[in-house]
Amino acid sequence: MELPPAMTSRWDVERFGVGPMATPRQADVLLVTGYVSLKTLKRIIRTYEQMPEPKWVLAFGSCTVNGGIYWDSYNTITNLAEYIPVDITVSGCMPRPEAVIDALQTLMKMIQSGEAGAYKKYKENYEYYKANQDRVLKKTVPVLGQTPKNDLEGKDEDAKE
Amino acid sequence: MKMQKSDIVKLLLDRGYSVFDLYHNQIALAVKKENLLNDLIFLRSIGFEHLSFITAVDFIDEGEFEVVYHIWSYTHKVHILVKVRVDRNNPVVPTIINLWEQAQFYEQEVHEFFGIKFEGNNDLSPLFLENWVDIPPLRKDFDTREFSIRLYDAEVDGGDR
Amino acid sequence: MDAPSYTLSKIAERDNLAVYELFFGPNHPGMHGNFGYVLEMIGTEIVKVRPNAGHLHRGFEKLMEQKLWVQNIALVPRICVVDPDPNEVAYCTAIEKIMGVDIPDRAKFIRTITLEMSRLTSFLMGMGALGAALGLYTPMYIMMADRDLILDLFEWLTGARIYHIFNIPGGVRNDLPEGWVERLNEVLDHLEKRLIEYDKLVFENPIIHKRLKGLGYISKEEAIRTGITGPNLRASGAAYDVRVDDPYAAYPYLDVKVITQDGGDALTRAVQVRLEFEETIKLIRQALKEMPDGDVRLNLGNLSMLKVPKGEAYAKVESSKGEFGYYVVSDGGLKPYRVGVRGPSLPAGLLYAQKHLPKMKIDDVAAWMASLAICPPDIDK
Repeated sequence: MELPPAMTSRWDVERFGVGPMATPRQADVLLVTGYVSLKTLKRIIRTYEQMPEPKWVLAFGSCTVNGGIYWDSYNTITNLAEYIPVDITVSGCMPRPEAVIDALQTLMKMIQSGEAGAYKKYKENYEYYKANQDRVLKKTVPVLGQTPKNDLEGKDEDAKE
Repeated sequence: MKMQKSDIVKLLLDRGYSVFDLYHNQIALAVKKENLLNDLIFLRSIGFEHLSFITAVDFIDEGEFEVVYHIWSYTHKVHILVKVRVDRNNPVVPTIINLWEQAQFYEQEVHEFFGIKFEGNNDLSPLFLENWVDIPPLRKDFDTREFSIRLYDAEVDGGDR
Repeated sequence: MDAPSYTLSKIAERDNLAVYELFFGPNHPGMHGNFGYVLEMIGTEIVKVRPNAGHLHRGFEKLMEQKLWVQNIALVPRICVVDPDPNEVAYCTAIEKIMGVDIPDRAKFIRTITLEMSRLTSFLMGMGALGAALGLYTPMYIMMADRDLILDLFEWLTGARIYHIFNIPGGVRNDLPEGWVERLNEVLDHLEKRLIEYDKLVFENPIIHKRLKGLGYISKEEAIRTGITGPNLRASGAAYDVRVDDPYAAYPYLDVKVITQDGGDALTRAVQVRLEFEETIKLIRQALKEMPDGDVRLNLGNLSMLKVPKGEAYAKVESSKGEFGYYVVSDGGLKPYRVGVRGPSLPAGLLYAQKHLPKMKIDDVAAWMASLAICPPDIDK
């Protein structure tokens, strides 16, 4: 939500050569702003795998680090780095637009010096990332061990037994 | 023709309802689920035409769910909370989608989070959660912190990430 | 809704066109926020719609049962990011109703001023988004820059730009600093001069008129029956406003003018936002003139150990999108027993999508969403 002020006339980020793109196939950087719910995680993984290399990921907000204020919610993840590799993390709850510009400039310096190479980790450790993604997205047994309360059909089965 | 709140309370008491006077323009009504549709049709005919929303409360110690319908009248400027109690082990309530069309989505939401069935509503598919195999999450016996610690590796003090 | 799909299916059969499914989903440049529709289309005309909500669901109602009464004030503004103050005021008003206390007059006026300023920021973002959905990007740039002037004032008063956490049960956290009122008057003068530019850019633009006329018509009876509230209801001809019907904060002492128009389509709703913008500036000026002196908060003891007596209440406020309601149930303890949130975008986003979209082409979906002020976080909660 602090991205529109960063992109418009007051803290104009376009003068550094950064601009929004319509599709992930033409983009270099993926910005994940804020908390990530399970439905969104599925789309983020698909978007990340659509981007051509070299590609970088920036994670904004405290919710991508340790869950933030929603750490005990049943629908948000707590650590984005377990699912896709992350280059730079910016903390804050709504990081200010100046922090956004600082992160982008640090990323540009890291690319120049050759330190930013997290996308290679995705291919090398693919089983690790895929195991985490499947554990969270595809659930077949209840996590807390309680089976759902039976509906009317279930009651008939119990009566038969 | 505008009625004062005291006139409305008297009209409802004369017809045999149990009325609780909450605040200067809010009253609560306790009805039985067999008469629910007739009661709402009567209230709509005396000027209560705006359905704000439908929600439910889990009274686990008494073994009952309470479904609450919030209705407001633009002419009398009075708010009524219509409450229905159902048994916790077999919760079934008649649907009101023929009276107010937006009730379709509120009933879908209450079914997804509490497990209450609305008979007559054919489409109670999940709206917000995907691939959910545990018990409905807003019930009081679902521990969301334990869920988050087990599935997402949440740490209680934020850890040292 | 039956007629277009019947004829289109006949044409599709004759010309061998297929019905295909398109995810007008979260990853789309015309979508406001993280929300999706699954559209079934023939060519560029839409035949059936299914909403795909839940990308922003965080389980607020469950989280609020696990935290103390005061800790929830940090959670509550995150339900609607664009216009966060009505959430805090509604939650605190519900608690004050259950406890049976009345806050001091100066606190009521400060609450009203922050609410109206938040409404201005939301209108600026709404008008900019409406232009951007149709390809007109210049108003978005200028309006976001003007919105930052108001956010700077909020930062001076409360310490944060977006999530203020300024209202507490019993009043507001602190008084206005020195020089704040003069700066607010300067910002309001600047905004009034900018309205002339906005008119020339957006509201007198022939492309906007042609594209928005007749889009998404809602009649007055239908709007009242299906739960539409706020500026959308007033643009269909019904003169109802929560600030006049069920007043809270300092509205009983102020003179709120309820503006209605006949029209009911997207162009009328866009003009409605413009007219209410001017009215909001006049309300802030009136509140500044009539503000009394005194305390700004009641002494309720240590707020971390606040115990609210047993009871329940429903409090509603008028946000820039409609009626925002909070239903609070307390069992006499340190934490709430149940908090239910009524978001204003649910009737428009879920029900009217199935009524209006099947007659439209896909080019107009983004403009339709912007004109009805559909904000996905308060559908998902």
